[in-house]
Amino acid sequence: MPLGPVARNPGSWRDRGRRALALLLAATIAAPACMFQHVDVRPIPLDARSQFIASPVKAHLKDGSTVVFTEGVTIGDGLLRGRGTRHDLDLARAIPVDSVPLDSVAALENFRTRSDVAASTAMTLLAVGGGALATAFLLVAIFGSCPTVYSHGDTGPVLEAETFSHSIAPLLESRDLHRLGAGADPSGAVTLDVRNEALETHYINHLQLLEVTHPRGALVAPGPDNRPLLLRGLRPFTTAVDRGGRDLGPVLAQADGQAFQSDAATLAAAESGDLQDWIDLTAPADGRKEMALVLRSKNSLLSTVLFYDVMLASAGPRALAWIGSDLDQISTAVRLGRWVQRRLGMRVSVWRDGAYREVARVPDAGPIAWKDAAVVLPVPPGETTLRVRLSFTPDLWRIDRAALAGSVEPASARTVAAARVFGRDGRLDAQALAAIRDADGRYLETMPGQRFTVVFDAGPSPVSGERTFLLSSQGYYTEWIRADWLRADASAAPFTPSDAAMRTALRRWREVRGSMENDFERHRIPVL
Amino acid sequence: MTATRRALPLGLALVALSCVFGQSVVTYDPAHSPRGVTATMRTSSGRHLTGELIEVRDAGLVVGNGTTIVLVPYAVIRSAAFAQTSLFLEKGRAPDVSTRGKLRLLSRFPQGLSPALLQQLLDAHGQSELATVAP
Repeated sequence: MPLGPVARNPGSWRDRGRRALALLLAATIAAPACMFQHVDVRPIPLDARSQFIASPVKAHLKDGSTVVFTEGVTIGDGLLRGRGTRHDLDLARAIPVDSVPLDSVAALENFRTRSDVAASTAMTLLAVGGGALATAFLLVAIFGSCPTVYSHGDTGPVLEAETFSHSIAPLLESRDLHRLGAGADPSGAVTLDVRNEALETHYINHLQLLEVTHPRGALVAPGPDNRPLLLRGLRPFTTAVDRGGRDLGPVLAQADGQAFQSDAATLAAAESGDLQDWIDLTAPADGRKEMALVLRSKNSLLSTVLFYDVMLASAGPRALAWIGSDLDQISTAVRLGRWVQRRLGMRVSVWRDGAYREVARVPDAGPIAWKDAAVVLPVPPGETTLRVRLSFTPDLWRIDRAALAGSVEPASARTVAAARVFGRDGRLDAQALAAIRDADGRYLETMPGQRFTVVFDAGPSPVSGERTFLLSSQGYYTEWIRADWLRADASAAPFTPSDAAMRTALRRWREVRGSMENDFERHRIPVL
Repeated sequence: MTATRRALPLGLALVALSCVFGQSVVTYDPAHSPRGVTATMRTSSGRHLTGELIEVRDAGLVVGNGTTIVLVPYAVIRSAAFAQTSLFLEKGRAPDVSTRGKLRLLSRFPQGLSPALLQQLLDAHGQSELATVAP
């Protein structure tokens, strides 16, 4: 498709072609080789000649039972012979068998491991190529992100959002909703640039705009369930204190870029197993039944360390299989999902009947763009003070603002479909538009360094009030495997979701926090 | 023996000793279990279904979740994935002959269910007849 990567100076690339090829081949020799394999399932003819099959065989009998020979079988003399287990029709009973008459068999199948020679060769080259590319861009794997979205500001691009940042595999495809600061131009068009600034492949299924028209001064922000909420009467909480007793009032009162981060003592304690940090907020209940917490926050780069250093790099070559196939298994994805629910994100609790009761969980926002979000807070009957606790894994969040909205209600939104997509060369791209216009089986695939522009025709501004736009996005992304990961310990186990893994990430995070945060911006992949 | 020929066995040995990715029969569930492969589907109405692939028919897939056995017509399958495979169905399209053959081999009854066997299976699940998933 037209959104293919283009070199800055194609002529110079051609001139360097032979040298590059030679370098690549030389590197290939020095690099670890990778062997791909798959399972081949083949039927065995029932009139097959006598033979020994050394890999698993399943015999489907005419009476509906199934015999599994995990160590293979010998076929001959009208019998299947081997150590097998016979399961009856409804799998309620299983008995060992050592032979089965061939004339009782309706179908036979054999499972074999086969090597994919072409894929193995290609992947070895790709690993080397990926390593070379990473070196060229001085990447140290600190910008794991997902698609980034920019609007066109007066002085240049304005970062608006990072979308579906925790959707790292097809099964984890998800929908996100982001409040945009961007408005429509005089013609009513909202124009956004979508970029791939990481070593990832992005699969964008759907991009859509939501338009909410509302009274001036009100704020619109997405709730945890991705529905827009209309918020009025914003004010700071009366008190804001973290676990270490620090007064966070001035830090959290305004969205000014001055953000909360966990204190050193809490972070140090986390390494030894205390994986909780929290912020307690209070405000007068004002006799209301419900109010809303208004957040402007993002993840710290601890989430990046966790993903790259612990989930992927420490798994070595197994990371490829973990992303490529393990996460396509329901059980692995569910296990990961449960752990994410417990250890990632931010839990919002309200004090009621002598304890904090969880009322919502704010999903991870990603480490790049500030995200506005709102959570409805039920005010317990009879309470004169609303007490709210935000709890999370230490230093996982940066919170720019935590305010209280005295009034909250669902916002009525109008959807605006994408009208046009332009490639980086400025040409209309109908295929790309078709891919992102609906949430279907079509995806717009982008590679590192690619970008496109999407335009939504939102129409004229409302006669009264004002309007806020939110970007609804759906998709997932897959991480590129770095060559140095493949050179790591080949016997390393794939990532197992656990508190031990989180402690490992926290230890690593304490070592690199300062340098990572300082170097963050300069490690983006250049977008051409 | 030339240098290239001498290097070839060494190269092949290095390849064999290096990283290995993908499925092998050792970890491939259908090779060790009488059950069919696990299918995860989303229907055209947005419903999610996960269950064992029991039988592959011309009209659709018969799947069971331990308590109920249903026929899911291809026309209502918005998307379907099958564990530990790259096989995929989408947009209500019936699989082509090749895919259907592969799926059949991964089902519990690749030979097909006769009416008598189907009835036995339904009886075991307390069903009088095979339910069909509506669009």
